[in-house]
Amino acid sequence: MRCDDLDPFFDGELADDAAAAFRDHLAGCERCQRALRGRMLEAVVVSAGRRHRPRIADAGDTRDAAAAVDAAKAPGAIALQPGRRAAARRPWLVAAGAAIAAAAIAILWLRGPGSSAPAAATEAPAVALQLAPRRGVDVRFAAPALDTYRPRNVVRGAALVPEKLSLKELAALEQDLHAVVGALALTGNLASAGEQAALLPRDAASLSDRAALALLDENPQKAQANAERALALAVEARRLDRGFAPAMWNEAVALERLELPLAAAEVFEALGAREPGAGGWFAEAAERAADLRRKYRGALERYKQLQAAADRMAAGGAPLSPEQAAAAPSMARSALHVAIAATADPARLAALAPLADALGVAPELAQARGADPARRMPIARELAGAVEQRDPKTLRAIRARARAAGQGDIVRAIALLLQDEVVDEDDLAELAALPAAGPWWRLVAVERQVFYLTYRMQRYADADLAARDVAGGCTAALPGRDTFWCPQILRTLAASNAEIGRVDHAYRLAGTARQLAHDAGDREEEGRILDVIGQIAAERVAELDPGAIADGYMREFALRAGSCAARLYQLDFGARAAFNHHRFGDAERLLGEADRLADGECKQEPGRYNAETIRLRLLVHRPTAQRAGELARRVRGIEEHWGKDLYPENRLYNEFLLARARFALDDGAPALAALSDVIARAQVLSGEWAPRAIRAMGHAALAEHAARRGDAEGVLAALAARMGVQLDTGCTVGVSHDDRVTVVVRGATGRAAAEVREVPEGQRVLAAPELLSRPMRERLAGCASIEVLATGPYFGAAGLLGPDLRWTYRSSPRRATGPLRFERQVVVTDVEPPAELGLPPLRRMQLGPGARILEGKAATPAGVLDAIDDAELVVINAHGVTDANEPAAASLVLSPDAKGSYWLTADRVKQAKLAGAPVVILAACDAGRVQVSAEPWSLASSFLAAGARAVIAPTTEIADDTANAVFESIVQRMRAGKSPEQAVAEEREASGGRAPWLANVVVFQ
Amino acid sequence: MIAVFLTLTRDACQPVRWMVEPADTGVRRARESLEATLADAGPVLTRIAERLCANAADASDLVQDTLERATRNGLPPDVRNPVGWLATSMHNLFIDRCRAAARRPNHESLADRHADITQLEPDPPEPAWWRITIDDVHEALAEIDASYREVYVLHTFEHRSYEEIAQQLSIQRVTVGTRLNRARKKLREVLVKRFGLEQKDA
Repeated sequence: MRCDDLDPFFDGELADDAAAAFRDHLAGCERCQRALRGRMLEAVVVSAGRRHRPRIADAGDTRDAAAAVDAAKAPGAIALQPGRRAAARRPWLVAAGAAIAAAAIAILWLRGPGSSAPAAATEAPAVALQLAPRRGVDVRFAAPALDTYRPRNVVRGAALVPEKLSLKELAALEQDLHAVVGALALTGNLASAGEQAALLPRDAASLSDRAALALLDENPQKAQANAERALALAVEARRLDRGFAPAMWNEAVALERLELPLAAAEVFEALGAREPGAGGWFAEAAERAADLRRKYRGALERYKQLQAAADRMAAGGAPLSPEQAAAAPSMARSALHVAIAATADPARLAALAPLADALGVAPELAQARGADPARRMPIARELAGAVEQRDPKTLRAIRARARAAGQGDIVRAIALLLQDEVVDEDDLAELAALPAAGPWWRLVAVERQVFYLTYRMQRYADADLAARDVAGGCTAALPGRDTFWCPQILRTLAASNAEIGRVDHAYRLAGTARQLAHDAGDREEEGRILDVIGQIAAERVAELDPGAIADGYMREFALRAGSCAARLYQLDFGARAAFNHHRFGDAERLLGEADRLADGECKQEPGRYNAETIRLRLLVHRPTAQRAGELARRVRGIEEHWGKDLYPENRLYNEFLLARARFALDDGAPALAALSDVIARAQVLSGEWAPRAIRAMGHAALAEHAARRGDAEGVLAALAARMGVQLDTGCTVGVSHDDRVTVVVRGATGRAAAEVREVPEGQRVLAAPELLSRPMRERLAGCASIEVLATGPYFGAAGLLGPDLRWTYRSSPRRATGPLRFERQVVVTDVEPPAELGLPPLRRMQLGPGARILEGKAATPAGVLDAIDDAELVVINAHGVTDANEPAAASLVLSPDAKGSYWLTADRVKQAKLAGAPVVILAACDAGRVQVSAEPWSLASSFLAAGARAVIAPTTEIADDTANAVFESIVQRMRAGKSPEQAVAEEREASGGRAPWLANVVVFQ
Repeated sequence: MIAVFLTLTRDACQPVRWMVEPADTGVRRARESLEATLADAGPVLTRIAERLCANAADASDLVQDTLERATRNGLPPDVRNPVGWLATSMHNLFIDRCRAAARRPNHESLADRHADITQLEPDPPEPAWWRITIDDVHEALAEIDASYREVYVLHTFEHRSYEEIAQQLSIQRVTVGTRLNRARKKLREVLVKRFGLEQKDA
């Protein structure tokens, strides 16, 4: 029992390897951690030889201690001590004035008498810097000599007012690279500072300085990117040293630059609270926190007052003033339409007339004035009584009567009042009539349609299509852009585009939405958009931690919303993002914060499924009974809260959480059987996320379990079960991804081997070429062809195996389709995508006289799927669209149909039936890209699911000038009897370097 | 021109930083107080760190980082036992390092995991160490079984190893460990009765 080793460990009685093992154990055992702390405190007492009882809460002690810290911060001549002593491990040692002596105490005794460390730094002469009395930058550098507090003298519009430092002063800094970086930056040499910063070790100080440099970059085109970069760097610095003041400061400034005032205020406030009353940086931090909050609240209050006035007008109150209407014209117009619809009183209509004139609603007002009072009045009165309550059922009933009475303006006004309701098909039919009333009404209709298609139907490509006509107007930098409906449309559109893999495009859409809402002063809508931006940011591929950037936006969202649900969501989301990047410490910290909130002031918030998943994943990584107990307690809490209202899939998910937790602690036969039982039940359960998650995590657990027991065939069996394929006996590579990666290889000898790989901290996945270790690769020697069973992000990854091997991804049950035949061939070429997409034309593809050509306007998504339903060879020559750096599923851009639909998405392909079991060649950029999710889907796997025998698709961009020749040659090889993977491998060899992109063409079976 | 003389490696430790802020009054008195606290804590923390770490260099780094953190951030205003507080801080740093170093923590044997589940005997609660002096410990030892006390004294105050104690008392080495463990439990029980339970501020 390892916990019993605590005493021998602490007493120094364990052998080195046993001590190392106990340290590993200690890392995950909270019980031992507590006990160790007790041993240490006991040792302090028995070692100190202290005979007198300490004074209890002696004020002198505490003041002394605090003042001692202040002493270490005393000003005086700001001095640099070139760090001779620290040459080995402390590359720069900087002390300030009176702090030098205290510093020496902290440092010197560590090495003790006889230490080999160099002598104290005090031997070297101090160098004073003649900095300006006021600082010309809004950032802080880590080097203390440059970090003395000076009041701000930042010039508006300029990030930097250069300091004048002499060459002599600069030369004196040469042994302190951090000071060099800061000094170069302060003197305006940002490029040189950046070069020097790149030479520094990745510690908190250098990361913080790099954040400062990013903030000083004045390029307005890169303002957001620089601020996000600074944020990620500062957060990384604080990950290494949580309380490092310059990093905190720079983080707050980055958040402020991103116009996230509440998040910035939170960091400034935390810094200011460190030393209340100390003045300097601390005082300025506290002041800035207060100032940011004050400004935010001011803007929020102004808009809320405007909203309240508009609501009052809609409910029969006074019309908005011209100034109020000018401040938020689209919102004012919405309220005015309702106000007009809810009255038949001529005096009231007359009172609304000036505003109607100002907002361009005069014709509708005139129509209301001219309506037959007998028909209009009862309905208008009924509506007037329903405006404040906004009960959907009542409003829909009034709408039906208004339609029957021919009161179109009332019908339209009710569409505005139902704005917050999720629409159904009836509502959609009502919305379809709105655009006839004018372009403003078209925005209203589109907003509702896009919302419905995105969130209720998950028809993302259709949502994109529905908004196509208005999105341009909303995103173009035009004066008079709508600031009420456009932000909402773009927010939903951003979410939709992110779902179909256009993550960078989605990020831009969300950014525009936010800017519109912000400029309009609508802080609440802006907050909702921040949630979307945060979600997208977490998915983006970035050089730096995307989780840190996402967390900045999410923090602001939660702070603005202020609700328990939002705060818990933000923390759980952050924990999930951290875990996805294998930052377990961060995940645990955030989850702990959320738990404390959930157990305290947010006790009423039910069902944090995300949190339970993260808890489970932490448990799987470091199994402890305490973690399992906590998971079980919280799962029981969910069950108790929801009782009978819990959906069956949620109930099964709860069972899975507990079964998986038990399996993590005890992988014996009963626990294995219980887990297998839950997985089997998930196979037949309907529902979206829960069964998928259970299958994904469950089978991955079984695969990893088999690998750890040395049962490589068991790994393959688990993978085959997960993917629903029948296992062959030939050469096979399997990759199972959950939080770890299980890799299995069966080579030409027929014997299989498996290993479990950890993903390094900060990475989301292992790079495909690194997945197989050398010994595992060597097992594939002599294999004529190799099947790859891969889950998650590795399915479809290029470069998993070398270009010299003949290998395919397997994703569907093997079908007895007989030999390859090419009697019915279809080539889709010369498609005509919508002009606004700006896609360049592609070269025409021809496969010889036997092939049917589908081209031009006929090459619509539906036209293509119809044409290929019995084909045996299909080549689609079109543009694939996804954001280049994103590992997300692609869609193909074809010619628009009568409704304007041009996306051929994976979802749409999956519903087709390909009776001819064709080989499908997707001669389109990125067409083989696969979504990173619990269960991968892509165009390729959808074609296979629809009945294709094999799919050949590139996972990167391809060159148009060589694409046709290469794909035509591959077809010729298959006609000559080669299998798809043989044809691709031979073409790679034959093409030499002519088409380097061919290395990233993947074969799916 | 600025020359670069030092070669920095990626594993270089965090540099010492001194924040430069306006002075407060009582600088000299404060500095002396902090110096006294650190000087008092240094040897104790080093002895403890040497038990925790694999080698002297790691122990030295652990203590240094503990003191740097204390110097940089200061002690909490209401801390009652600065050395104990520093020990707790060092404990936290050490656990962080263990976590960072633990590569395959799930590789514990099944028996180990069962240990977490089946070892039902709870740890004794920790007494309020910040109130307790070495005299209190001696007094408490008088109340525990002599065979346990003897081993505890030899180990704790005379710094004898398990093997030396075993030879001196003619008992097995494993028995020394068992008695020491029980001595600690009994000692805690007595101290808890006298001084109450531990609080987090050490």
